[in-house]
Amino acid sequence: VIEATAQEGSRLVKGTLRDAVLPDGMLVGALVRNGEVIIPTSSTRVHPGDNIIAVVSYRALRKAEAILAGPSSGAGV
Amino acid sequence: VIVCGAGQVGSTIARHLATEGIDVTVVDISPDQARRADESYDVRGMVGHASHPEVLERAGARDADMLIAVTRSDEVNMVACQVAYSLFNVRRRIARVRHNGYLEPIWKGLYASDQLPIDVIISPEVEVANGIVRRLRTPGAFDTVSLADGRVHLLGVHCNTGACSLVGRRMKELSSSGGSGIVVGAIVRNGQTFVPRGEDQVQQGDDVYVITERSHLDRVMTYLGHEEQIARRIVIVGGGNVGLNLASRIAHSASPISLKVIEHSRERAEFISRELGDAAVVLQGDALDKDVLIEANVQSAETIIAVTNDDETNIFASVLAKREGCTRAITLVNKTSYEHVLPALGIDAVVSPSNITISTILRHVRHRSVSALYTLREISGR
Repeated sequence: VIEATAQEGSRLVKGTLRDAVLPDGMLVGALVRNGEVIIPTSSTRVHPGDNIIAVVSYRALRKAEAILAGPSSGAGV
Repeated sequence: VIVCGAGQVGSTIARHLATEGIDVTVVDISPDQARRADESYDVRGMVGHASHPEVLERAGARDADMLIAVTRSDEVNMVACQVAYSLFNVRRRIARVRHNGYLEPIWKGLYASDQLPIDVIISPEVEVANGIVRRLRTPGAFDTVSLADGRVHLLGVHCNTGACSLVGRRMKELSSSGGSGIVVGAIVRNGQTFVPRGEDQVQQGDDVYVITERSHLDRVMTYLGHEEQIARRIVIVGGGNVGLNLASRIAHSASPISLKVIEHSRERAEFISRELGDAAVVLQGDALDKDVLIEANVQSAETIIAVTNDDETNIFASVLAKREGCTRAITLVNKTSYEHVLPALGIDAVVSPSNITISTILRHVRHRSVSALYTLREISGR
């Protein structure tokens, strides 16, 4: 179970959770936005700055980190 | 990363980091432990006193990003952090500190950045007591983790009765069938743990981990078919750091609770009796002695909490108390080799200081976009 902050420009904030096509073994369990808890469904949108609680299997951990990471950790944009 | 101490905690952390491709060196004073670390994993094992500058230099402190000090000794752990900071500029320093005297809030100034520079202090005894207090609050769950500063809870629950409304539902239908506000994060079935997809269903006999808002805990537990009452009569076995910390927190909780503490040592029993005053009855004796358990009235207690420093005493005291009629047992067990037999013995919830320490430390060693990580017991290591 990981807690992370949704990064501006990451794949997670581009559309709804359904659109983000999370890898097998990753699931977003809750969002905290401005102190308020949101238990998401597949049509929930993640905003940059949201605190995300996700369940990730060990095998999916690398992929999950890639989805959570903003563009700055990519090719130095 | 340099890990000081190749005990259960140190070597598990080293192995985790190594599997992620991180360069790890483990330092231990015992040649045997160091050699074992060196042989069994993709890590370098080194013999030496973990706080000596020369040893840390040989371990590669000049190029290290992080030092994790988890030797048996608080003092060695603290000095190792100081040496790593003052002489080698190691950027992050994590230490395990157990003794209460170092942890009192009034002495917190000790760890300011210009003093004893430890970024993260892990104190297993305090975390164990926190974990047990959470379990007392949701007695139907076998595991609880508090997330997002306590706003969100992760609950581990057995779906072993027909009363569990999750059984037979597809995950994607949950929110439209009374299960709104719940996400099933993981399912444990036949010893295998998986993260469910929309099409998956919970089956009777599964263990599930659900994520929910704290304010909805009671409603969610009812939905899952668990309506166990919060314990009013509690027996604690072991008056060490964990037991005493726990007893004083239970004593100060809002609801009136009848609390008994069984402690083996006469001296310690007298000490905790003075500390706790009227809040608890302290009995001096052996918790494996049936007469002592009866005197503590375990037969009418809802929960026994066994937290001595001996795994076997904790396990057997729990089993004996349940045989006498105690409803639930929360048991401290360090050895991972016992993990699989404990449910069969009737132990309802297991707390493991080493697991807690490992997952607390790993929480701080992640990618920078991830602020925290918790390891579910059944998933760990796989």
